[in-house]
Amino acid sequence: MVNEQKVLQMTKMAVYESGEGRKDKAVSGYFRGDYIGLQMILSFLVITAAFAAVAAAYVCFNFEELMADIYTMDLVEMGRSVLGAYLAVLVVYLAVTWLVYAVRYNRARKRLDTLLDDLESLEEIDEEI
Amino acid sequence: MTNLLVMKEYIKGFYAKYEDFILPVLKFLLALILFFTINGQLGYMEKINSPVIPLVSALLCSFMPMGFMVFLCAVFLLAHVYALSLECMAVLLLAYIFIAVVYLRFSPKEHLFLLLTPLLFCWGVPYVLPLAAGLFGSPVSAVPVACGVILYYVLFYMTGNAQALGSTEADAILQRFRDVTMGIADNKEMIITVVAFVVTTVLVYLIRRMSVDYSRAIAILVGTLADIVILLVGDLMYEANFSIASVIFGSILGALAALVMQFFHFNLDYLRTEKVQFEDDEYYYYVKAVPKMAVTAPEKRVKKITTRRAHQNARRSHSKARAKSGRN
Repeated sequence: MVNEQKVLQMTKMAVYESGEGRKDKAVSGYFRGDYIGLQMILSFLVITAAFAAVAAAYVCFNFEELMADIYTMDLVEMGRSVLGAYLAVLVVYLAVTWLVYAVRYNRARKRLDTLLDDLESLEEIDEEI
Repeated sequence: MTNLLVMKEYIKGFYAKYEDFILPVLKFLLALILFFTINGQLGYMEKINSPVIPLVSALLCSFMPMGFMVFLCAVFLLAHVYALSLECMAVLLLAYIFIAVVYLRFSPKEHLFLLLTPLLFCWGVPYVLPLAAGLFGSPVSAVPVACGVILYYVLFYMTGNAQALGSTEADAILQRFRDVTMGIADNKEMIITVVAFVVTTVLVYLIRRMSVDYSRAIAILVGTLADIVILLVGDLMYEANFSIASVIFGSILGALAALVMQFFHFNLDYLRTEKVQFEDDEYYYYVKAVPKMAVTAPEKRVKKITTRRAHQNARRSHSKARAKSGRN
């Protein structure tokens, strides 16, 4: 005979598994460090491309001044300041990435832990039957 | 009030029942409005101005995720701006990069705020958005709202200066790129609006989370006042070109719209009718979980009182009373 309590429990679990659970399982397939590391690599690529685009736009914006001063300006000093700006942006962006994805990973793990608890209670129902 | 609650429950029930059809239709309509608005406001590229392309694109959007709608809108905008001038396209690409870095990289679920912000600016009622973002979203919702504001002002500058930007005889490409960038970066109205909308969103979110009665109504009121104050103080300090009347009336209109939205708000994720399949050792289960109706429509009972029946009842009760007193 169909056990109503069991069906309710299984339905709730199936709803979670077919929705948010799918993403959570993909996340928890990684170790925490691997998951956050992968996201930080992606962020590194994105911010590097964005910085390059903004730097190109800056060159276009100040093209005439740069061309006029190109022989007199200290290129090493300029390169240092550009590198410094890039590193500052990179560090901030990677820190934000770390924070966002660490929180996301922890939340996914917590939801999956709840699913495991539900599985245990389902086993208990089975034993009672 | 009961009638409104009944109507709300009816809408919830209707949505739960026909969700599979309603959601694609709503997405189709939103996409259609967006594409036609883009074509109407910009419309520099003749090839995509015919109604067939927006129609087909909207049909595609109806069954694709919301991210696809964002992508197609970006393509439409880029195509029109490319037809206007190459420098404008470069500036728009920079705006896209900014949006990608601060918003899309973190794969959010709040594309609706990003899409609706420029649209509501075009309709002249943007002030409802920070309230809605704070009420129904999270503090992070301020990011797509801010991105939407920036996108609107970038496009607004380009459409406002289309004649100068479109002429090929004007200055050199680099000079025009410089002019466009300066024109947008110097737009104090944009910066003040971004600040006002971000502060309003966060404020509304914080107040609506407080455990006080009517926290959501208070949040709307405080958010609206904060929005008006920041915009007007910003206008006074930096001499931006806000129309005071439109800020005040628009904000009041926005607050009213937010109140209506708040009343009819229901958590779509929770409400959804779920169809799931699973199995145990004995059975296969095909379950359809339908959300319950909280308020039922009041049953109307019409009691007919005719004078004849009333007269008969009165006589009957009177004679019973007399018989009782006779027995005593």
